[in-house]
Amino acid sequence: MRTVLQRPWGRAVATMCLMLVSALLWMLVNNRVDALWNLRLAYVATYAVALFGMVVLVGHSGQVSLGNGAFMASGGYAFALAVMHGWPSWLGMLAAAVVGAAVGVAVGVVAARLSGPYLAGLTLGLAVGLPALANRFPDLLGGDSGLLLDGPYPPDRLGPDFPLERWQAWVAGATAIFVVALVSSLIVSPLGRSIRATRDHEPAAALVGINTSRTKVIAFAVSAVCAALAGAVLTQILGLAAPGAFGIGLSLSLLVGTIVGGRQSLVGAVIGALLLALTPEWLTALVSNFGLPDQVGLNLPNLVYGGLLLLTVGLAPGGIANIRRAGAR
Amino acid sequence: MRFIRPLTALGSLALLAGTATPASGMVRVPTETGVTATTITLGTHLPLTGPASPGYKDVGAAIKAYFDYVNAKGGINHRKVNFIVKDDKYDPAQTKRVVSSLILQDKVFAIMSGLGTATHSTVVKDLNRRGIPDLMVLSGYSGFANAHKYPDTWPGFPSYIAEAKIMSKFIADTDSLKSLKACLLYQDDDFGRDAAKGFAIGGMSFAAKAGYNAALLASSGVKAQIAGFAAQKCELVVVFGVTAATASAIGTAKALGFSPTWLASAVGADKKTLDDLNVPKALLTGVYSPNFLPVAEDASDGYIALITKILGAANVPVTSYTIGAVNDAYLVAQAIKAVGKKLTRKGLIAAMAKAANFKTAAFVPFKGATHQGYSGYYIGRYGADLVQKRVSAGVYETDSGSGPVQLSTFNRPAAPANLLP
Repeated sequence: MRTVLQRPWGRAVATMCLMLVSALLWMLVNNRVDALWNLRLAYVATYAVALFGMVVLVGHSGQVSLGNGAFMASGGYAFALAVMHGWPSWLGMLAAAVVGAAVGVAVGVVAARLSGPYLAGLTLGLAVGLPALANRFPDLLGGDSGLLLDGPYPPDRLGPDFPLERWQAWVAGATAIFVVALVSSLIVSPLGRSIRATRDHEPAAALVGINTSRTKVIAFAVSAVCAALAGAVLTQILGLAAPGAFGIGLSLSLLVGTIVGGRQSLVGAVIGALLLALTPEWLTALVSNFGLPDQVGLNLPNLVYGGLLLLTVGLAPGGIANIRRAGAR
Repeated sequence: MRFIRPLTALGSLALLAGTATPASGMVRVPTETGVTATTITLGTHLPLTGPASPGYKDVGAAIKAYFDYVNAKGGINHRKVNFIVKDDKYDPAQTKRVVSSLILQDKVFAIMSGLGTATHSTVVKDLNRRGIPDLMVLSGYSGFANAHKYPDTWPGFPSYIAEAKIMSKFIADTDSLKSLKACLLYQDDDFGRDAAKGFAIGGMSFAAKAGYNAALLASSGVKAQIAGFAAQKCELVVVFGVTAATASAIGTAKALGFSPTWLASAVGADKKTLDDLNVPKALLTGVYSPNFLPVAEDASDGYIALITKILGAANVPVTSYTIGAVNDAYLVAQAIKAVGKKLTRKGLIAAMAKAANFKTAAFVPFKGATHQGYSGYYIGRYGADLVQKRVSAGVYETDSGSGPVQLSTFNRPAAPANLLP
């Protein structure tokens, strides 16, 4: 088994089998739950896609980004524009990935020269500035109202009564499975080792022949592509690409999800995605049960995120996914 | 096997979801979504916070106050109305989210008084696709009054096209206004584009036009645009925008020593809201604005007396918005009542088409069959006592197309003894 899996083809076959099993499992769940849960699951999968990219960038490459919401915006708008020009959805997703990669490389080239607070500042500026472009070019990007899509709806061959939310969960789930397969392959590949080597000791990595700035740029581009795909999926769920969907709050919550879930772990990314997708709703419900004003419910998630971030950094720096391992040490 | 671990991520997620989910597929809905033997659930999206919230944040409370009043008197066909308000911050992406949660989680029977053009545009298709009644949309965007495209949607304001046509007619018919050098400030989206269409149909031409971006209103106001109008020596400034734009326009003009005659759109001229936005009361004197409802100060109006009582009992401020909100809720309650004991969405949609038979405080008919909704305006003007008085020859009626602007012959039904449906 081990020897077969160590060969590239064996690995590829095993990965594909696992993707297939995950997809079947996901569809099984989607068929069992109601529309509300399918919508929730679609959000979970969407956040997971973005967080898989954050794991590569923050966990494995050791760079920080407060601006992955902006990469999501670039993917979302690319998808919306593509679909509005009559492209099919899958081509729109491809366009989102390409645009995400281009933006990611552009930012990555600059980011590779920066670190720590300077990198945080750059990406924060991106998170604030990029979605605001929509207001600068209202004719192309629809200004504050955004670009409104009709659909995408489930394909006709699924029948007229196929629930929209289940279709959205399928699209988000398929994207998540595809992305996690690619990212997990990347992590175990030689390139993944180079990325971690660069993070751990840049001069040493350079000495063994790793092009460290190139690996850093690649890590940025990978996380941007993941974010752009997540943005494209979010645009499909909302039927809309608008600045409000990709605000600064989104960028910051992506970082929180990454750290709290476990920044080096893809399982941690899923935990983070569950946290980001489900807690705001639960907190809002909790608050209204206590009869507190809505304002409290709307702002409570941010407070809770902040608290969780502090707790994680203080008590379990590896995140929720690594609590057990940290305890064993 | 190390590389397999990450792939278990999704598997674990799927399992988690599978176990965490109640067997919700088992629940059978006995009648119609959002309706039980004793309750009806309605919902809306409104800006409770953010730049568009002044004035409008009270709309939800006003509708709640009305339904509380109806519930206390036994409800509609023995069903109590549960009205859920969700804050969308006037952010289209947020509107989509909160309306999804109203539909899927709160399982509302119908949506009423959802506010805004850009915001409501994100959900109108979905609501119609699902057959959910979408009543009294607080927007004058003519696109919502499309019976063919949106058979389940009725607007709660006369269209912006109709409003602009009526403004054009009023200016042309008023000796003191028609010779003034007129300039137009408009919101640079579907709201303003609708108005531009109306002014074009109405044959109104402007010496200068300037748009403003709704997203930048809170930060930069309309200072540059008004400074431009001052430089051009405009004598009549038409503001076709939200109240915050009117407030910024009037404030900026005052600071510049520029004192044109103002004509503000109906959604941008509420006195209480302008006051909340720190526009000195004195500056409001002489401002013209369209309206289709009686004003709060008109104690002799039977509807106003009833509406004021309901709002007062719930401590909701009496503004042109809250008067309209209660009036709309009264209309919706009559439609629900008309459906009868077996309440369905299809039934409510059919009842709305006959809304012309219902009583409302409006001085124009509510055209339910064509989905046009309220079909006209009178023009009012704030006096020195800050009370808006009708100054147009009568109430104008028109459509959103090229039809003429005519004086209405509509006779408003006398105020009922109470506002119960």
